[in-house]
Amino acid sequence: MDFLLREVTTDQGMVVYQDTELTADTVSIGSAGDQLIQVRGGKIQSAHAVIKNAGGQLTITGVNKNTFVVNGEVVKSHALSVGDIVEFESHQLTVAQPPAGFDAACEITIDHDLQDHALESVYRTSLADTTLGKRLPAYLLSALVVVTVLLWPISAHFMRDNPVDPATGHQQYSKASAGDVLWSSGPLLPAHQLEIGDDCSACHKVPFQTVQDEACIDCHQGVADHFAYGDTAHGGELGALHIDLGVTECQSCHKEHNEPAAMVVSADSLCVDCHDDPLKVSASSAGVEAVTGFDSDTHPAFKLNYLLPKIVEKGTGVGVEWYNQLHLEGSAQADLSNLKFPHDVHLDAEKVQTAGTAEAMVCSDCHTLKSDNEHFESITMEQHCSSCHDLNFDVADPERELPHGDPRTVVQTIEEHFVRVYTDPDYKPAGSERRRRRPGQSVGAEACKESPFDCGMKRATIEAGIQFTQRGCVTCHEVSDNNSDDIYARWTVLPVKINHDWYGRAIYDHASHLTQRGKTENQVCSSCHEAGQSASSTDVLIPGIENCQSCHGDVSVDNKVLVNCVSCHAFHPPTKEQL
Amino acid sequence: MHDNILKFKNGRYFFITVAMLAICFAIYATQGGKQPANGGTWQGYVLGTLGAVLIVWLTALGKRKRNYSSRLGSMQGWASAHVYLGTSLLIVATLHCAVQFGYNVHTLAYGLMCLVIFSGFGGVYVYMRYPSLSARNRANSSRAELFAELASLNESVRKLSKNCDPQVHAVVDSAIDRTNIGGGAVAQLMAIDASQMLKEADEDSLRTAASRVSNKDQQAVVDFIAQRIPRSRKQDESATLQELLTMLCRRQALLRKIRKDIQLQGWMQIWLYLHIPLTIALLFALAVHIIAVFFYW
Repeated sequence: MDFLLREVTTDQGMVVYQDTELTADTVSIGSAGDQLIQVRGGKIQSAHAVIKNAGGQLTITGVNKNTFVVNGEVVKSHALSVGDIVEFESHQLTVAQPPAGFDAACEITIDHDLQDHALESVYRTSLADTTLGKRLPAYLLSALVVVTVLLWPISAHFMRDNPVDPATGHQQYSKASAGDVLWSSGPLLPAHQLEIGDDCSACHKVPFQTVQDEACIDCHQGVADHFAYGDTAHGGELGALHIDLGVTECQSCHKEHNEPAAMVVSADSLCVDCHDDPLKVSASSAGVEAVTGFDSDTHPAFKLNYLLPKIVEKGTGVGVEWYNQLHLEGSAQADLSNLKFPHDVHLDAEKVQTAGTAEAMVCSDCHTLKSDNEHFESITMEQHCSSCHDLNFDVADPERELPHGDPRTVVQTIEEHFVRVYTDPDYKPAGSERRRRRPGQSVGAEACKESPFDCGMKRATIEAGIQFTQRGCVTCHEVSDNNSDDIYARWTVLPVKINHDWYGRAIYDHASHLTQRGKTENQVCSSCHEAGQSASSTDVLIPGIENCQSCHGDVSVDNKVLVNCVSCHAFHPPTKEQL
Repeated sequence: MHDNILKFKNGRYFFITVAMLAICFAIYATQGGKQPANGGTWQGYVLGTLGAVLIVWLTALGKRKRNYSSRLGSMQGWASAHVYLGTSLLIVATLHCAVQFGYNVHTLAYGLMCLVIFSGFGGVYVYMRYPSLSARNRANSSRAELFAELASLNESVRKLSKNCDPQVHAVVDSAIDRTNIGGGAVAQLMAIDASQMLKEADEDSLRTAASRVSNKDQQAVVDFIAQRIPRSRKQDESATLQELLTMLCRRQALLRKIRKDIQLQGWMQIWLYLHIPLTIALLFALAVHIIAVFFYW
């Protein structure tokens, strides 16, 4: 639009016109220096109004709803026609007939007093005069904070119990979109993260209440507890005692949301806060030694849990009742398993060799580690002994063996064998070559003048005596003899029970200790268990605390492998098998 | 007046802060044992409570500042303590959370706190450095005096230009009218000059009307008058133009000074436009942090 602006001033009584041609789409009016028409005044904004030309029709519009006066009326917008007078404070703009070549024209009469007076007032010289503010950003930011980290998360709590929509079958509120993950103070244990995920309400059930044990027990049912260990001497009072000691909840020790994610408390303070003074634990603990760590003077010597036999009368013979008894490691108490077994002979390559390789036996030939890496599988005659130790009893018939286990069957087997040897003319030991026999006698029978049956029985009685008292059973077993005439009732082989759990209150990982660099298996085992020097099975081959302490110590000990109380003693022990 | 607030009473609050931090480190170090260091241990709660109390107290500076009749210590003492204790919050809060961060409200509060503190460092810097720069720029006169000087110069220039060619008069008048001082936040902080003036009609052009051109730093109007001087035909005109030129140059220098003053003043204030809103948001985040911790205890 070509716009003619005619400024009318009165100079010493003379009217002076100053023409300005403007070529622009819109004519801007305001107090700033960049406005096409610059008018200043207290209430005139830097950009106050614009005049636009639309198809020959001029329209004046206030910027940002600014007002002005047209023909005496306060307006925000007005369609202009020739002769209209627009007032900005005391400045007047009159719409005039455009001369040829112009689209529009107007005369402006500037109030110079106001114009000059207001010169400085339009300058914005401080940040407070600008659109920058402190309140609005403060309100907006705060509202953003409240909505995102308070309202959104807290809605998860109040909406979590929303009913399931019967139409869709989905809960109307999805945990997946819950904002309360923003309240999590740290990562969950991976197992918990996997199981619970972001469902905070799985544990945080009631607002402003600490997580209760029930939340843990929801999943962890049947966890064995320190004070329900089955030790009747302590009775049930330990449970109450722990409450006295401030251990009231799972949470007392197991805190979630820690970094790094770890819930198992391994610090010694867990135990020694109480066990540094046994009287703290229980009045009946008087005399029990204090524990404050795992150094030579802070942990008492180990006590071995012996499994001992008690011989009792049983029928015509004897029987065995087993009981446990604690003895200090290194005490004179022998291990009484009723088995005779010299470790030294079996580990001596000169005396015992493995069939085929002719090498010495290794420990694992008999001792097979259980899957718990602590205990060993039971040793049985059939699995571990019989490959070398057969139970033959008749040199003439070396393939004939006694059954293992029941003395009555053993006696019966001997009788049957020899009666047959003496009575069956066709008897021939399996695998033996046919050879000439004297009439009335079978091969292998020794000379006997009596009837074949009596000869057989007599021979059987002698052999049974030999088996139970000289060689055979008695080689490995303790045999009790009541001198009865009845050979079925005379001998009792005492049952064997090998102690499998010398340290019932401790856990130990054999597997992690079986490091073998530069050592044979037997060397590794015998570095703790001196089996090579043990000639009798009454020897206790379980090492004591000094053996552990040669490598391990607590935090106060330098240059040793650190162990905590819970490295060996579980607070929540696995359910122990019957000792 | 511009005593160093950091050295207030020989750095009294520096030593108080160091002592407080020493205690905080000692409390932090007693953690361990059954639980790793964490905001949830009793030590964590103690440090967190201290941090929250500090934040609320530091915010109260805004209240204290407006309470001129307060007898609760001098404003300088408050400012000094505000700076030292505010800085110490970086350590107190870090010990409280045991350097554990995540995408959560707790770290949001921590992050906002850091932003508030760092914007505060900006404030300390400008308060240390800019008042003297500003005083030197203004040569010990006040801003009002500078504007008074400008007004009188404007008046003289207008008066003088009336005696000149109408074209000179129109250009010089427009240069004064369309002189820009300050403006928006960016213009103030960067001292951007958007001044304009009318350009006399091109003699070759058919148009007789003038157009507006940039008069940045008043250089255009100075150049315009300078070019007119050799073309003047009368002795008087030349002398008037010469005088006009001198005054326009004085005006140019004065405007530079004013603009610099506005710029320095702006930088002394701008950090507060971050510091205050962030502080308010921090107060809310802190409250939500505390609510959240105990809501899901």
